[in-house]
Amino acid sequence: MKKINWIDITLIVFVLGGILVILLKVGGNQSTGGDVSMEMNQASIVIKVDNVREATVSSLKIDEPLVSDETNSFVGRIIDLEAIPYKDKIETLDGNLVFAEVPERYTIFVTVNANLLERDAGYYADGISEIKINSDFRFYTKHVITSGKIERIDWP
Amino acid sequence: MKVIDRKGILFNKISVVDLAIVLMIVVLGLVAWSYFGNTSTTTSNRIPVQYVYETTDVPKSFTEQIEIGGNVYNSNKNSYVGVVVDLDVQPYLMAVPDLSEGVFKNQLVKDRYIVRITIQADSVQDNYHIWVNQENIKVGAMFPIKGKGFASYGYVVGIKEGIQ
Repeated sequence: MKKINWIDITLIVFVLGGILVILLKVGGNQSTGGDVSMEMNQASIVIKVDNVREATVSSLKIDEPLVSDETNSFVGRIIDLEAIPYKDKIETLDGNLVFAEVPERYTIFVTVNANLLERDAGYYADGISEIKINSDFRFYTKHVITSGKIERIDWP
Repeated sequence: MKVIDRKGILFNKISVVDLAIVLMIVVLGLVAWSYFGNTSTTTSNRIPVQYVYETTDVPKSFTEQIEIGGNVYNSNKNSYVGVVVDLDVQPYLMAVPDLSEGVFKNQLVKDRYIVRITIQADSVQDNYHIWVNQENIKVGAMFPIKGKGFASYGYVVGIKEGIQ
């Protein structure tokens, strides 16, 4: 057999290092101990997008694919959109805290139908994008880029 | 000719170790691409698109510099983003809280304006993006623009497709 020289060994170490990095990145949030459950289930993710204008409301469309801006991977298709006037808090002169409508601003609830991979550490849309209630979530469709918070996950 | 000789050389050309390394690199590349690669699936030829770019709180002198037919560029990347085809200048209204009544009211900001510039360009589109050169055109996307005598930051607030 050919004698393995130091260049070959260096290359092998680099390749193994690359494999290790990818494995850590792809499965990075799995716990190292205990059972690792890997189950894909359909769920509806509701994203609350605050303080946007009419342009954003009218540019989001039902049935459009929605993509995570962080991972650049498909999350799911939009199945429902609900827009309501956006309210922000005001501390009035008499010391009360009131929520008042901001003119021409809206809150949108974007519901996405997604396949969530369940791991010990959490839920991942299409196995990649981490979905956690109350986490910030920046996303885009073909016509819109915006960000909101994940309001809830509805399981069937 | 032997397939593999005593030194581990395949067909007298490449060693088993080198071949294994090349295969591992190819597999690694495929795995990485499948996870981190582009989400795009289809690409079309150049499609004309119009988009509305809005910049707020600018002075009158800014609005006077914008010419219909003038070229517009991303001022950071220096890349062409289209030509001005329409211009809409409105007084700048700002929502401010009325602390006595507990409501928000639009207040006019004197001598300041909102400018909506309709820009037309050829785009390359796929299922997820509308590209004008290096610019990803989406409602809510922010980028800096400049023309012959003006520069500003702003957002895309509208996209019109099906332009002839």
